[in-house]
Amino acid sequence: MTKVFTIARWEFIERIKRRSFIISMIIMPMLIIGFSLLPSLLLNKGDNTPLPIGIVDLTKKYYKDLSIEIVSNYLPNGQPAFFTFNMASSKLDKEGLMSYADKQVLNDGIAGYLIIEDQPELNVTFRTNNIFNHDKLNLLEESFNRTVVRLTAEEYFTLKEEAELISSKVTNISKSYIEANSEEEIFKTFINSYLFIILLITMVLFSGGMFVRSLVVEKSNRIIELLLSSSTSRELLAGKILGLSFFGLFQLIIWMIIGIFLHKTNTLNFYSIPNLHYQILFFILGYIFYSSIFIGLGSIVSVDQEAQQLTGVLSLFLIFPIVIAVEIIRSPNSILALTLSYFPLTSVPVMLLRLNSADPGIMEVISIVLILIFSTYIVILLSSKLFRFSLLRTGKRPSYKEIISWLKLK
Amino acid sequence: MLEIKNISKYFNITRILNNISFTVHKGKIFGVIGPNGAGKTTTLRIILGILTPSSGEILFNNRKFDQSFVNNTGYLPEERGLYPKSSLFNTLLYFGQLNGMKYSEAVKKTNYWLERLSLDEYKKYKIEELSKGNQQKVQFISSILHEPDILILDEPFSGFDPVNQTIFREIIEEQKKDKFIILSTHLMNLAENLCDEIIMLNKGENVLAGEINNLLQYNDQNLFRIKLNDKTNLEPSNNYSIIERDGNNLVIDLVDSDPGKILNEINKNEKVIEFVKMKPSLHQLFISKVKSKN
Repeated sequence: MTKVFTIARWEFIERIKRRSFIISMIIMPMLIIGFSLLPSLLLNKGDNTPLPIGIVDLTKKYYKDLSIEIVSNYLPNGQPAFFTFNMASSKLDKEGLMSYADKQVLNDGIAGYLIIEDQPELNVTFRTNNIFNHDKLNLLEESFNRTVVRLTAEEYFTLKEEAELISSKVTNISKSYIEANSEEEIFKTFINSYLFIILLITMVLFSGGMFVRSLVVEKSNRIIELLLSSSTSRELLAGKILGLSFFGLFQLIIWMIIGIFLHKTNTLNFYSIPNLHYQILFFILGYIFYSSIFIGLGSIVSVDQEAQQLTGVLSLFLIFPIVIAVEIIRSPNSILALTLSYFPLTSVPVMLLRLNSADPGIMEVISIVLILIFSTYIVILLSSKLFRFSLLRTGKRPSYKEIISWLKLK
Repeated sequence: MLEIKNISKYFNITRILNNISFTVHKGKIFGVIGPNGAGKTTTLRIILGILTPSSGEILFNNRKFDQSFVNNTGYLPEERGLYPKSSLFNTLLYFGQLNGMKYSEAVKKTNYWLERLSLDEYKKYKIEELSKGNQQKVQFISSILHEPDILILDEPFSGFDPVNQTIFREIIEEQKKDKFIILSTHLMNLAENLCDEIIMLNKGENVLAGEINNLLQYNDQNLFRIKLNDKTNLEPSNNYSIIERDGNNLVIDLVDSDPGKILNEINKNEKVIEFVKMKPSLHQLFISKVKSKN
């Protein structure tokens, strides 16, 4: 076991010391996130202009006071942070009002709107179609809470000043997204999925490619012979997989730190990514699955050119779902989308797309996860055989017949 | 002792080694010698467990020699290779630890060897920044750093300049005291000078094996060096074979023939000016054995 950790530590440290790692791990995600968020950011109103906010007050109690509270928030340049529109109307019911307000949001008439209802209890929802600055949402929430406290105090207390001391939070504003099924919505869903898929492709191709290249160097330099004289092929494989996993985890941690930083600074809103926990799960499963394929196929190649060809072929499986992404987002439960979800080689990118545009049932997610875990297990078994039998081989690439005979060996 | 018993190896249907047996004793250098393609490296790889034999077994002090002995074995492969982008010091630490050394112990021993082989100033250099000779030194250190009981050196002097050859020869001699050393080479004169015992392989077959002194002594009665008056086209006959030919100088193996008879036979067509019985070199012995087998 000590040897496995020695090999894993070496694999990990030697990789993170590379200049290419620093470039790929920090600059690449920044670029990807930048490009992914750019359209959304462009859709957002600038921070220095007042945002038009609609208010649908179904209780008919709060609009006037809330409006005063909301417009009392100021931007650093002295302008009001918001201006409000009363969107309530006695002619329309709740659904009618929401439908009208949704259209206003989609047409950029307003940045979003608050729905206030008190049945069965006081509840406020902010509906928007966009990434909304969290600080501004907090301002809306604080304004609403102040309004409720003041109105309650005016009703029950004689001294207004006493009421001002009550600072308990009355309610949280929940956020909901407008389902428009418009081109813009499809684009936004695509951008959300695209972020994860591109990160996955970068991570798999970068670390997998690095692994294959290091194996090519070890084979061509005959270091492999030295390693095999000091450890068994199983220890070597286990050490390399462990090292690669540490490396992947390290990459993920760096990206999560970047992600949290972007979230805190309101550049990226995790809450706007649907099924985030499932997406992270599929991301990790995808990384392990594709890396295992890299290890097996990577051990067959002996020269850099072959390694690049291999990387190219594998990336096709990852990129293919992006080509048909719009179709999957439009019809996330179509036969095509479902078939590709259950096919291990495409399942991860397709699921990343589907999880953004639909809510596959828990049973469906579990069955796809189980298929992926089982496929990964089979791939690791086959990869370890290829690894074991092709390590000392250099020069000519093994024939398909030879590869099949290795796979049959126990 | 390390016993290699009846080892055979096939790659598909091609026979690489045929029933090879030999014993390596502590404190002695054992040479596996033969021309390129004789099966030397395959033999060493089987001993190291990198390859599995098709048949036969290896015993170390009467116990099956397997992966559990891996930390007790040092290996210098014929085709040298190290991680080009890694530093010299880290590379040696890695191989030391991979061979079971503790970190502090590996650091101590690495420093010792770097100083001894005048490499300490290059400690932080990447392997690719070192000269080829220095890279060879690093590779050599990696095989002996963990002080293994069994040292397996595949063509240890290939690529070394004469100065380094002398240095490493001294180190090998020094290491031999308490170790089992197996050395493979195609350089017969080197084996003759350095090894105590040898096995000669040709096309995977055992041609000759034993203690060098005995082998040379036992086989010395039939080799003769002859000098002719002129350059000659003298052909081998049923009574002798020609081992070496250099202008009008020849080394012939008389097999079981009577030297006087052969001298008369040659004198019939050529003018012999020198006919001297000689002690054979390993090289001559090898050629003689291969020819007689063929």
